[in-house]
This record gives sequence, structure tokens and C-alpha cells, in this order.
Amino acid sequence: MDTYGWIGKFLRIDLSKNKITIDSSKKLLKRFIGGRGVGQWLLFDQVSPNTQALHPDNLLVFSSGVLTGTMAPASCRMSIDTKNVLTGGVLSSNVGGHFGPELKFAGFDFLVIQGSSDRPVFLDIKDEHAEIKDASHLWGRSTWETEDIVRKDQGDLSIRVASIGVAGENLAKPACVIVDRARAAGRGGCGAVLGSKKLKAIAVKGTQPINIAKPEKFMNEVEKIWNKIDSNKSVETRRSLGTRAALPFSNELGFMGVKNFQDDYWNPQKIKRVSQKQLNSNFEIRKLACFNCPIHCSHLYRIPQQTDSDLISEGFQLNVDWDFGGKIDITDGEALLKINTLCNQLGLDLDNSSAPIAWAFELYEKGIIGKNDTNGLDLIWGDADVVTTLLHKIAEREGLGKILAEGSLRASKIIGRGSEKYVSHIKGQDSIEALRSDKGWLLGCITSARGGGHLDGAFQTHKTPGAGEPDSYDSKAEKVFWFERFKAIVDMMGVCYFATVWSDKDLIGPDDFSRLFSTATGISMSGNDLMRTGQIVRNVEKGFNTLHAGFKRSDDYPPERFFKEPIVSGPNKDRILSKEGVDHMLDEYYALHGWDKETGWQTTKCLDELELNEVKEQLCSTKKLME
Amino acid sequence: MTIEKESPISRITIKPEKCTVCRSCEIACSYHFKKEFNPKISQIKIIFDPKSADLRISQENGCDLCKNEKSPLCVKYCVRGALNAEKVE
Ligand code: SF4
Ligand code: SF4
Ligand code: SF4
Repeated sequence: MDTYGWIGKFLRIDLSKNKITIDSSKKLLKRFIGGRGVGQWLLFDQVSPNTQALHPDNLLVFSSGVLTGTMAPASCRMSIDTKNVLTGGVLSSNVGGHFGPELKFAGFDFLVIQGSSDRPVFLDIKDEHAEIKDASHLWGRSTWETEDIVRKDQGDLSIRVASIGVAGENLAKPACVIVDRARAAGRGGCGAVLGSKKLKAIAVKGTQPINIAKPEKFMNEVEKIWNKIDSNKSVETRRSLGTRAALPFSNELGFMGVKNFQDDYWNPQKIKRVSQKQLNSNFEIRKLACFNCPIHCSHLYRIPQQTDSDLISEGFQLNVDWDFGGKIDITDGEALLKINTLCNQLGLDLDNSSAPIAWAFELYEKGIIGKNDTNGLDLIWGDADVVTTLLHKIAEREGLGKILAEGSLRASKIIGRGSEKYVSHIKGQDSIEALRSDKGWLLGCITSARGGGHLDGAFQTHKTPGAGEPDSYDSKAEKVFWFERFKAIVDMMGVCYFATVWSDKDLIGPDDFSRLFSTATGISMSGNDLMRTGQIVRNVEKGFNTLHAGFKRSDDYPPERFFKEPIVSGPNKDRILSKEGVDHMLDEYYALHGWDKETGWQTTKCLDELELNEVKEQLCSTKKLME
Repeated sequence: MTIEKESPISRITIKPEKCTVCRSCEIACSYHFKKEFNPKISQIKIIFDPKSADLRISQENGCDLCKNEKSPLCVKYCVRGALNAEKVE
């Protein structure tokens, strides 16, 4: 045994050839550490630029981090990396729960899935062994049913399942992968990629150990960080109210898009109506955590139903308030909880399915579409029943749902009639963040490699020391440059972002990761070394986006409407984006990366510094490398 | 959270209603026995059925109350206080 932290092995599954091989992963892990690092490298290395996301040649990588499954706090994470169905560029999706750790207990750091099956299958992984099995009995089932059937068939409640719902089966672009019933690997449509491969689910169960190079030293580090988390004030709030605790405050700061971004301020009375305190007192039966997480930001609810048995469902994050609260104006907490549940069952990403729905509601309000287009539905803001119907239709790709299942940018090309004006997208993917108030948030979202999203370089200025004023375009680029490299580390470690300095300046930072990593693996890497690896991964993703999607500077801009329409109410009233301001941030950001300002492309110099010859050569041969 | 001086423990008491199903106790226990992380060898087991929300925490016969540790590790890493160490009177 000479691999610590990591397992040192991975599975390669070819669904076209019905073939599984076990391979050593040591070399790859040394260079790209794990999780997203490994996934992104494999995509770059093995998927050709003209391969479509839903083609059998697209790769799917499920990858645990180097600390996943260990005692490092919140060590639950797994990345799902594949070509992005919506943008044609990269996707790295990240999920908690218990699947990632179980994969390591089963003896593998990651899975590489290629090809596609001609009939529905699921992958059954148990202790250093895997089998491709028939899934005809699972096809057409919800993710919840799928998990239950797999566990029941094998008589083992502790089997972990990652699955797609009908949305993924039908190749709806907002489809995600669901783990542990309520944990979603969202954005970018990875559920549709599984669907295109006819891969319904992956079941995993293991009884193998994760070994640690310097166990006592590792546990000393764990204890220090554990105590730091345990005594943190913001963690205390998260424990009782989850990420939703931030709702009233973040509304005041301008983080709530309203009615498809016609405004960025939600009526505080509405916020009160959906409050987490109320949900907790009405329905909570247990606090819930992902694997080894001392923050336990989640809740399990029991909601009495009129008909059959009670609905038992895990509660939701702040996204649901953005997606279906503010953006569609649903003001009933129980309805939000039910919508969240339905999305999980259908295998629909909350973000990418709410966005086209919100867009359609606005079109209806403006008279651009009518009942002829909506299959007779009245799209009136706040109507949770209509939203529920549309979610089913999107998952089934039926009627209006078939158009919305393309994401709003493609849908606007089908509908036309000026509907493009109301689309909020970044690089072709629906954008779910309110972007007019906090410029740190804005820059991180527009430059994110996977096409929008606040979980890469984006940060909240008010809680980030040295980031200046939220509304100023200054001091933002250096922070985004810092956070995007840091997030890459977090995703390679396999730890939850909420446990880090992104959430609170006193939580886990690069040097903590350095000590955890070095004692776990026996390989010494400083915080700066790790940040450099983060930069390498970011540049692999950037290269992929340039080669596969042709992205350049013009793709790093926010949705047009935020330059034209100001916020209409609340403390941030009248805020609107300026082209000069965004250009100023982008110039600074490219300079920090050593990328070319005109094109936004990478340069020989920056890739030489990072020793990314492979990326350099491919860019050079397609004439997309700058001097 | 850390018990500073060694105190003899008579048993671990369990309050399942407080449990978050995080399974920190399981890997902490495996560390105690073999300095590795592996729920399989844990002497405390969390069995949770997400469908019915039924939860059972079972302490197995191999538990040695964390002999040679400052305090029982499963208790130490249970942030919700679902596990507690009862001291010898
Ligand atoms: S903070 Fe919340 S989402 Fe993150 S690992 Fe813990 S329980 Fe899971
Ligand atoms: S550590 Fe405590 S809360 Fe976590 S699973 Fe064990 S008993 Fe439950
Ligand atoms: S007291 Fe120690 S040996 Fe017993 S279950 Fe807890 S961690 Fe395991």
C-alpha cells in the first residue's frame, strides 16, 4: 500500500462496448489532485472539439476529491465533469451527500464513462468491482423510485445511488443528476448526458479503507479546523436556518432577481411569508448533513398530505428563493418546498428549469406569447400550480415544455417575436443571479468557465476584506482571480465550499488545505502551490472553452438587459451596469491571468508559465493562441 | 468540545432525534481502531431510511469506549450531541 488520501485506482467504463477496466490513477492525481482537476483534464485530453455534448464520444467523469471520505470537515464532495449541453464548453458540476465518499470506500477515486448503451443500463459498483446491469425496470421512474428500487433489490439501505429522472431520459437540457434524493449536480445539463448514454443510475457500496500518510498529524489538523468551524458565528446561523438565513439581508444587498429580473428587490413582506423559521416550525423533523459535515445546513421535513402518506423531503437552499421565489414570485414556503421536491424527483436542475419558466411568464405578461403558445395555461406570476405543470412538461419535453427544455436562449430562437430581449444568459446558459448590485458577484459570474454561476470566481463584496464597495468596479478583478483559483482547490479536495473562506473569512483557507493535503497524502504542497494548481485547472477549462465553444472576450459579458434597465425599487434602486465598468474589470482580470485583452484568449507566456504544453499546442494549431 | 483530562467512561448514550446522519462518528471510530477511514469497521452504525425517515443508531459489541484516546472519538466529532459519554460515577 503506497497511496494515501487517494485510493490510486479508477474505473473506465465503455458503454458502447459493454466493457469495464480498472486502471491506476496515480500519475494523473499527482498533477491534477482529484475531483474537478482530474475531470477537467480528462475532458480536455480525450474529447475532440467537434464532439457534441450528447454524442456517445462525450465523456462523463465522476470524481471524488483527495480528502473526500476522510475526517476533513465537510469531505463529502464529488465532481461530475462533462461537455456542457447548454454552452458547448466545459461543465463541472459538484454534489454533496454520501456518494463521493462511498466511491472511495468502494476502491476508486473516479469513474470515466464513455460511449453509449443501446438499452437502459445502470452501473453497479461494489468493492473494487463493477458491472453494467439492465435498467429497463428503472427507466421512466423518478430518481426517488430509482434509489428505492436499487436499495430494495439488493436489500441494503446503505447503497448510494446517483440517478437521472425522466428529464434526463428525455434529454431535457435542464436535467441534472440526483444523489441521496435531494442533492443535485446541477447546471450544464449533465443529466441529459447520462440520458444520452442510456445510463439511468450508478449504485455504489464499499467496505475498503482510505489510508492516511501521517494519521496523527492529519487528525491534529482536522481537530484545529473542526474547532474553528464549530465556534464560528456564521456557522451557527447556517445550522439553524441553512443558506436561507441570508434571504432578507441578501435582498437588501440586491441579490434577489424579481419577475425574471425586471427588478432586483423583492417585497420584504413576501420574504417574511416564505421564511425558513416558519418552515422549520411547521415541518422540520430533523437537521440533516452531508457526509462528515459539522455545518449541517440542511433539514428534513414531513409535510402532511391530503391523500396518501406524508411527504418526507429534504429542504432547500437559497437558490430556490431566487429561482421560484423572487424570479417567479411564489410566496408560499410550502409550495417552494414541494417544487423543490418535484424537481429532485424529475431530475430537473432548479436553476436551469426555473429560468426559462420565468422568462416565459414575462413573455406572457408582455403579450409576446399567449394561450396558443402555453397549451392554454395562464402564466400569472406566483402561480405555483402552473409552475408545477410546466416542470412536468419540461421533463417530458411536451408542448411548451419542449421549447423551454432547450434553455431560454435556444427557446427564444424558436419563439422569436422579440422574446430574445428578455433572455438572461451567459455563454448560452441561463443566468440565475441578480447582477446589477454587487460587482464582485457580477465579474465572477460572467467569467465563470461553465457559463454563469456564482460558485467559481464570484464573491460577496460585503464579506470579503479588501474588495472595496459593492457598487464599485475597482478591486474586483484581483478577488475573482483569487476565488476562482481557490474554488478549484476546494473542488479538487472534495470539500464543501460553504466550509471555506468563501462563506466566512475565518473558515478553511488555502493554508489549511495545504496542511490537510500534505498530511493526508505525504506529498508536501504549500497553499501557493495549490493555488497554482487551481490556476492550471482554470486554464485547462479556458482552453477547452476556446477550442470547443469558440468563446472569446465577447462571451464574457452579462445579459444585455442589465445595461439597459435599472433596478426599480429598494435600496439599490436605479443601479444599472455600465459597459465601461465591465470593460475595466475584464481588462484587469485578463491582465492578472496573462490573457490577451482584445480577444480574451490565452497567451504563450501564461501557458508556458503553467507548463500547459498540451493546451498551448492545441490552441496554436487552431490559431487561437496569442503571443 | 475536547475533554481535557482522561475521565473513565461507563457508556455512550444515544439521542437519535438529534442525529444529522453525517456519519462523522463512523469514520472517527474507524480511525480509533485502525488509523484509517472506513465505516465498515466502525462500532457505531447509523442506519437511515430516507423513504420513511426512520433512523437507528446502533453501538456494536466491539466498542471499547475508546481505550487510549483522550475521549471517545465518536462523541467528540458529534457536533449535535446525539452521542454523549456518560462518566463513571
Ligand atoms: S454545509 Fe451543507 S451542503 Fe455543505 S456539506 Fe455541509 S450539509 Fe452539505
Ligand atoms: S456524528 Fe452524531 S450526528 Fe453525526 S451521524 Fe453520528 S450520531 Fe449522528
Ligand atoms: S466510543 Fe470509541 S470505540 Fe466506541 S463506538 Fe465510539 S468511537 Fe467507536
